[in-house]
Amino acid sequence: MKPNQPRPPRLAKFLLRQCLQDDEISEKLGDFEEGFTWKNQEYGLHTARNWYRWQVLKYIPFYIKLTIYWSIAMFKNYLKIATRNIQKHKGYSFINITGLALGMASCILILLWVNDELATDRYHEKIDSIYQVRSITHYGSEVSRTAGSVPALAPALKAEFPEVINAARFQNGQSRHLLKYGNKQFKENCQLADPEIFEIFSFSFTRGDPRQTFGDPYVMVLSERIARKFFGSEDPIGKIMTMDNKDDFRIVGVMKNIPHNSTHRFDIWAPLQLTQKWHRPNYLRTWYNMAFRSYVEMTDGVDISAFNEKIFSRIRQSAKNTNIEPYIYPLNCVYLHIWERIENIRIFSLIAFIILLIACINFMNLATARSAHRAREVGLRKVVGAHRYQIIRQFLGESMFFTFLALLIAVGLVLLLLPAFRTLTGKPIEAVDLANPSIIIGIVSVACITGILAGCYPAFFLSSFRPIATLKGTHASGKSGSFFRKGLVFLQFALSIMLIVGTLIIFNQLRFMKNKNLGLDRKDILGVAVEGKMLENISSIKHQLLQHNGIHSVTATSHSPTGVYNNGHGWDWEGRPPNVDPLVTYFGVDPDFLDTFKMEIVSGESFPQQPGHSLTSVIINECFAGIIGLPDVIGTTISSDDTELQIIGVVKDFHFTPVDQEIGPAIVYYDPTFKSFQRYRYLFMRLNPGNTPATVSHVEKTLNTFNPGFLFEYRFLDEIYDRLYLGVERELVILRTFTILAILISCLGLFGLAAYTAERRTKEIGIRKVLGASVPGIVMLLSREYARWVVAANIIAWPVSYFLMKNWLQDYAYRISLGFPVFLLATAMTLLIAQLTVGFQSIKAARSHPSDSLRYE
Amino acid sequence: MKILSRAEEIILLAILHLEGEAYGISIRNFIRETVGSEWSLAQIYDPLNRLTHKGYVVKSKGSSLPERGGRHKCLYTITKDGKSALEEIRNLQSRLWSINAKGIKS
Repeated sequence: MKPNQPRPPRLAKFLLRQCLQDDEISEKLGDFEEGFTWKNQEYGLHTARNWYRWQVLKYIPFYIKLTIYWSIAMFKNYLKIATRNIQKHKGYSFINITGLALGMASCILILLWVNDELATDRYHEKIDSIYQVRSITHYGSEVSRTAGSVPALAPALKAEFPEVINAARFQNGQSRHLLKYGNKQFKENCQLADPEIFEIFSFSFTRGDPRQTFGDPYVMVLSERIARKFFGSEDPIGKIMTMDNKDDFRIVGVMKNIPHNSTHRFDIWAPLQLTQKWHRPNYLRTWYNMAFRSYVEMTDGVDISAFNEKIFSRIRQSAKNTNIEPYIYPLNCVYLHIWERIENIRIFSLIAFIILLIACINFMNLATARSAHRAREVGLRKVVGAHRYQIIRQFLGESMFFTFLALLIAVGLVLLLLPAFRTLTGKPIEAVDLANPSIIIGIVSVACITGILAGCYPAFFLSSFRPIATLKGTHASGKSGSFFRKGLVFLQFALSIMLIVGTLIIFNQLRFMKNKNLGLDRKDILGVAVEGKMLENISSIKHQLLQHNGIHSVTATSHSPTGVYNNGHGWDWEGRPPNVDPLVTYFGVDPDFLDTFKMEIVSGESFPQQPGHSLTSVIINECFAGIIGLPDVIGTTISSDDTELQIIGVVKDFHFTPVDQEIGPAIVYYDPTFKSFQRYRYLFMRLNPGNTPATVSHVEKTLNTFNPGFLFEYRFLDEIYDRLYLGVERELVILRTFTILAILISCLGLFGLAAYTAERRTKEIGIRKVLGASVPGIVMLLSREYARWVVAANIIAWPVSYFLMKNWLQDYAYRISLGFPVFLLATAMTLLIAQLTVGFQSIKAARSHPSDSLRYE
Repeated sequence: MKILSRAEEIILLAILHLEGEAYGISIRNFIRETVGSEWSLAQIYDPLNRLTHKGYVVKSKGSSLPERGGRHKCLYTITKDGKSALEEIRNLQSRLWSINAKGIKS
């Protein structure tokens, strides 16, 4: 070629080359170039080059047409082969599709759960500008962070800071009241809060006007649920409801039921200013008392840390020596990070992924194990000119086909399982939630990931076959990749063992918490709330109740022992080191408390029964006694501000908060003049075993005589305790369900592999039997192959699950120790299940008559 | 037997005429001289492809020329089937014209 020979445009030539198949490059590139040469001679280089470009441009639509034509033709062929394979190997296809469908169904369910969790509070339109006012409390060297805030702060922020658009307070917790309308009466929980909440949060009204909530303290807003309960089809607006047979409230609005995934949920709203009428006139104007949850709506682009410093100096302006440091925290992080739900979300997402991975491993294992069936096909395809990447595409496409087939079944399964899932999670997830765009994207991407994950290894493996070997029949069928397969079985069972260990440990911890000695006897305890006129008549009620022989003893308390949340700092005693300032819980009781709950006095004595004893006598718990540190604390005086208390006894430590929290120092007092006194709110009675219904009706009759017009409501303490662990219990049930699924899918795959191995070794088994091998011997031979790997899986599973679960248990103040038996049990379970799975196939193979397997030689 | 398209017919006739010297460029030149219009190469390859699949023409490797960048030609020759397809279309045309013997003018 002459050096100055004109050349066609480089880019156009490159493009053309991309469009051409190997076998047509010479022909077509040559034709183009020849055309170019003639054009050049005839019209000059410029025209020739343009001509060349134009020709290439015109070639592209033709190329596209060709590509589409052939890919459709090949796709039809792939589809045909795939459906034929499914029909030919029904058992194998069943295992594959079932495994994938189960895996994806679990994934979809978890996806729905996660989506619902992440949507918590998202229904508030202003969510991104709403902040919770939280508090850091400093005492001594310790700090504690709480969601509470002092009542005077929120109005001050709104009035004095331009960056605060609005502010509102909720009372911490809801109070239970008797509500009456006409002849209908129910006990309902009421939420007291500032009317500004209707401006900040999206609690939307269906009837009435939110502006009516301001001003008059005797107004109420009901949810649609409650409105229907009291008013049926009547319009509740303007109607009057009576609370506790005392106050009349005007209904000013009906709001939509608050979604289940909301950090604030209530059915009845009443103004917070009521508390000033019920407690003290300046109740809401103090710079202490953290029994409130405050929220602020901020303008965009506020520097949060600078603002936090401003509010810190603001609180010190009004309360000089305060130990409270308020700060604001975005509401959209409260549920996930403060309530630590994000951890659960991560764990469950991980489990979903593990299950999917296990299902994918099944697919990979079976596809590669059965590669012999496809080896000839691959060989032939290659001989007639298939590229490796075409084969890869074919098998990836096939796994996609399987996956989408499985996806259809999975969606069906999900719809079928939704009711059970609702009970399992306590979330009202409906079928329509599946139509949510993010869920649909999630499901499709789950399917795509599954298809690629499951298909890529078989695709690369199968496409690597050498056509000559496969067609000559020298291809070692199924042998290749067996190490990899066993590795995958190893991984599958390692993951399963981890899940089993996790489930067992959570189960043990839950059982431990439920059965832990609480320091008080909770059996046969009946509780009722003190309300209406009961407080004034408490001793007569007690006397009357004890008349019945079904009641052993009665005590009135300020709190339920399931949760005493009334505490304070600043206690002093002789010899207190200056840096010790414990948070002490106050539990108000009457003299029958220790007896009713069968509590143990370690030293000193119980409250004296006869009246006239010193009211400043208190009993402390062992923990507090330990902090005081004196060899004998009886008779010691502890003081705080103007209060002086004398310790008369020490009670054995008992749980007054859920068992996952550590027992702190506590004062059990019997003194209405005590500064943190809270009136009696509960009446607990120990029932003698026997005729409970008769006893309960005696209690009802008694209460009705002293306190007419109130609905009788009672709870057994056992039930209240059990409800405390509902959250963990739910997690456990979910985890258990998905663990079982994971094991099921693993076994499905193992079953398929075992079936395949037995099939492949039919002749070997026949010959062995002819030579005198026994059935158990052959069963052993076949089982050993995979059992080894299942046992080996423990090498990873044990340490990993040990560390994971050790971490999980850190959250519990009282926890089980991670013993060896749990791990051993998990291993034994997996091994047993795996052996049963493989054993069935092995026995079947071992029992077959050698003449059957050898006959066709 | 499927009826040939006009483009296929023209190309098949070109191949028949070129007698073993038919390849992309020569077919294109033939069309330019007889039909009078410039066809793009893609316009030629498309019917050629179809003709090959129908078995009316067969490919064979031809000589290489320096003006082709030293690349081999791909020569097309008409098969027996191809010839009978041409026969068929010619008969069909004359049948159709004999039915409309009056011509277009009336």
